[in-house]
Amino acid sequence: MKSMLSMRRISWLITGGFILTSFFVHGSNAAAAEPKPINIGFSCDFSGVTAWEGNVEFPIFEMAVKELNAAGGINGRPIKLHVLDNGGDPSKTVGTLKVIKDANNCVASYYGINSASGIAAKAWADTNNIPIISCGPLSDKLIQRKGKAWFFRSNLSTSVGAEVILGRIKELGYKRVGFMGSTQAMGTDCLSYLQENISKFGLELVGSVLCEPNSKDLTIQAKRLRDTNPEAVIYSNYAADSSVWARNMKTLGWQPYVTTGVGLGLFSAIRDITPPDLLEGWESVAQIDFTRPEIKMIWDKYAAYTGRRSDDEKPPRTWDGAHLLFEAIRLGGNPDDPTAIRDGFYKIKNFPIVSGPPGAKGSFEIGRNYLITPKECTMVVIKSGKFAMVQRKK
Amino acid sequence: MFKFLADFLPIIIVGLSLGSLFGLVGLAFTVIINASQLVNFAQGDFAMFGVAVCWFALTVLNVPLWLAFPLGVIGAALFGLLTEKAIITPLQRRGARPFTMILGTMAIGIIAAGAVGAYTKFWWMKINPFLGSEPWKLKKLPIDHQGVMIIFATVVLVIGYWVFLNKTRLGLALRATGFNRDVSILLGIQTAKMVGLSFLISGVISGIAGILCAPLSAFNAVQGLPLAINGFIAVILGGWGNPYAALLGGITLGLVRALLTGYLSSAYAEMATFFVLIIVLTLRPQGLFSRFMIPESKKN
Amino acid sequence: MVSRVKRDFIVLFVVLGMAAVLPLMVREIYLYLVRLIGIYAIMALGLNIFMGYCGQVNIGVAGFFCIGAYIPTVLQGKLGWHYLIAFPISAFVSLLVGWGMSWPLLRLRGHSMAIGTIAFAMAVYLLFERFPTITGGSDGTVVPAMTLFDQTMGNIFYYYLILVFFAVAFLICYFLANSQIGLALRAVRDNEEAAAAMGVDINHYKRLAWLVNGVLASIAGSLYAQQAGFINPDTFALSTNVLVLVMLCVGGPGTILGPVVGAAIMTILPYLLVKIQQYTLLMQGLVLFAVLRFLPDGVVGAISKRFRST
Repeated sequence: MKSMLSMRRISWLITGGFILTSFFVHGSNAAAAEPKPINIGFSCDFSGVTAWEGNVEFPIFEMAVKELNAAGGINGRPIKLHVLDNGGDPSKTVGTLKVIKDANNCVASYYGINSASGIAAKAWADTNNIPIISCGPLSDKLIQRKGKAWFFRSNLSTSVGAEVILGRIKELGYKRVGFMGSTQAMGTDCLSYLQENISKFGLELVGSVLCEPNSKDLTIQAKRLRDTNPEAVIYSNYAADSSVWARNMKTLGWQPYVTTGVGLGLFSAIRDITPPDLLEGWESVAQIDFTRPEIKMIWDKYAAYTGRRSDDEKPPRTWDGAHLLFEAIRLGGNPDDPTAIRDGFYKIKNFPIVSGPPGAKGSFEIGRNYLITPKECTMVVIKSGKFAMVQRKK
Repeated sequence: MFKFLADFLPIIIVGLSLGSLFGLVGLAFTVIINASQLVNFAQGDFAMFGVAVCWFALTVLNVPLWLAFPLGVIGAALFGLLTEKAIITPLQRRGARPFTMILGTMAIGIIAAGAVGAYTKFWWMKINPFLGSEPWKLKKLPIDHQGVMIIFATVVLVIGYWVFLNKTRLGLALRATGFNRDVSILLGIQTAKMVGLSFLISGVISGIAGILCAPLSAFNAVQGLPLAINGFIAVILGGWGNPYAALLGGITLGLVRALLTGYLSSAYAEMATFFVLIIVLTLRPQGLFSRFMIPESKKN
Repeated sequence: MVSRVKRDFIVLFVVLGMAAVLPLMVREIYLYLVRLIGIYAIMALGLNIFMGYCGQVNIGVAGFFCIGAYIPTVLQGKLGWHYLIAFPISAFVSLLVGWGMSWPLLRLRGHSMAIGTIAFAMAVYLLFERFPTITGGSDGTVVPAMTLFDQTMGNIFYYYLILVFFAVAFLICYFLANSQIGLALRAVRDNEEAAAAMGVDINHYKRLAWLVNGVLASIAGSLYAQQAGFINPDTFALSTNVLVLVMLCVGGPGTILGPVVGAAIMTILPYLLVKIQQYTLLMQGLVLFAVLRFLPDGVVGAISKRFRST
């Protein structure tokens, strides 16, 4: 009898013990020595489907913070990063943001790549009035058209990429356009943009197919699209499916002009897992011009810091994101006030960014809370397995 | 006529090669089921592990394909054996419920996925198509050679398995163990070794299937369990305990999915698979092809 | 001597009391964790009734979790109904769906039931993903915040709400397990034919256990959605099914405390491993393996066995 009571007690003690242990394992964010640090929360996906992106972003951001702190921080105050993993899951993302806000009194949060998580983060930021800067999600749902935003992006939005693509297709003289995309937002958002706007470019959308993520074969879809006889194919899908698509097109002996708006990050992923001869001639929108020395410098810095290479636009756009955040804090005037920092974002004018063509300057405007407009976009092409910049008529 | 063939042939090859993947995984499942009435939820991870070893040999060790392929298969086989040693035998000795052993295989599968994922950072493990990117041309008809290889390998594997099972003493011992474990022990068959052998064979089959299909669309660490589920569906659709029925079930599944995905919106193809499964489970739980190639003695 | 039930109640009150004052003492991250533990514990308790006590197999809890999460969200967001109306509706819908699915699924045995329940969960998840105009599709949807007396509810409110529901769920499972019904369930688990021979209506009890499982998972889902503020279908995919199963196995199937302890362990584990995040999946697998191999009755089962033998 007595032993049963002990059993229950011990079971509860163990549970309690776990909770208590966490107290000490996590330790406390002890009050820092003078001067008082600026707390910035960093919620990113280190695990989960888009983990390969998150694992690149964090080192870059951390590097930028370290450099800033070494140079004296902002107004003499260093930045302290509070890092949490959101696993690419939107609900967890909101959870991490809540923790960041309540536990660490952090005034600005940086968060990763995944569009669904981005939408969750934006909704939270709008309700809780904490500014967030992000560097990767493409969804157009993140655009704030009216009033001041709380969620900012240092990359482009799907519609921006689509606009650039349509301009390029027109430039090349094609008229009939086919579309292949994911059944998820990346594909459907792009498709709706095309359906609404393609006629403005004098082009015609002759056919479209959507495919599930992780499809093992797309031959039938490829055939259906080919039968509508497009001259140019716009592709908006994840890396694994692109690889399948490229192979299936080759099997069908169909080699149209293919372009994608997914940006250089995904494009390099596509190139990594597809035999490069299948991608010959494919073009993609990108936000960097890698003939710029700044790009090479950031790529090399990343390689030195982590021992791996990521020669695509993830490091540069994360770099921009970090520095835009620092500038917003500076211009905001009060690093402890989230609203001031948010207003600081809108005060940024002509800020030198590493994305875009040489000499590009970045800013945000009411109605545009993303950094990259069609003016800052570039295009890359795969030739003989390597990326090359496309020279566009201006 | 040529146009019809040109349209139809890719669909057939796609359906058959996809279906062969599911069918082979289903076959591998059934090997284990036949020897020990156990369901192996790590089946897909056997295939994934084989792909991982092959990929590692190809990209990190720079070993040529003709060596990396067998290495991958051996890796998968050893992983199968490891599963058996680490979880099945100890649990069996303890007299655990069958479901606990099923969970045990799931645990091993998760460990494999987690380990491979941690190493690859959950990135894709790319394996190039064996014969290059150019499709074969049969009188101007392009044929995806990877798909053909998969179909060919399936045929060889099934025939090989049949021969092994029915024409060799070891195969006989394996069948006996599955048929009646206690009597087999009385007859002097080392049933524990037989179970281990079934896991080994299952690993070989999964490994071959996985590596052959990896060039089609890259594998990553967490695709093991979904593949196992598809293989499981193939077994249920085809017929429980009948390896050839499992194969047919897999091919049916592959063809149906390919057709639905191609002609209907692919949004509904995956959902349809699960609804079809529930319907089959309700109306014909013994499977669609359960009588296929069953010799009289097995009907029990 | 104080009766066993009275003793268990004392312990329960003490723990609930501790939990009730926790918000005054600790930081938000711990409250967040306790909220999650509460939600997963409710799901694991339900699964325990079906798997631990009734001996069946269910790898599809996420199906009901998904229904419970999405229906209140959609009803609040699209139709403007209040949470207190939407919540019971979703539980009722889960009850209906569970009742409907019990006919095909409960006839199956062992592995067939495993795959059948997986199929059910995947079908539900895909269904909710395919109607983006209603559910937001794969992009997910914002869960409208709950308002009570014109005040928007915050994290502390959800904390207490979850605590209350956890206590209720725990008590339900406790009384169920220790009652005649629990006895019948265990009879079905231990030997179905013998139970049938003794006059136990097997199908009736299996269905009851299945419905308890479903409704509890659905309630957990509604609470999860509300406290998360945002849901998307990926949360209800395969991994959640496996996670809850692991929680149950680690804690101890067939015991009352097992699901709670298991939920606590598996929820806290990723946070303890914050420094080595990509090893989370590996850790989950190792924990499950270790428990199955060395602690077959789970943590709670092993402890109670040790004390029973002294």
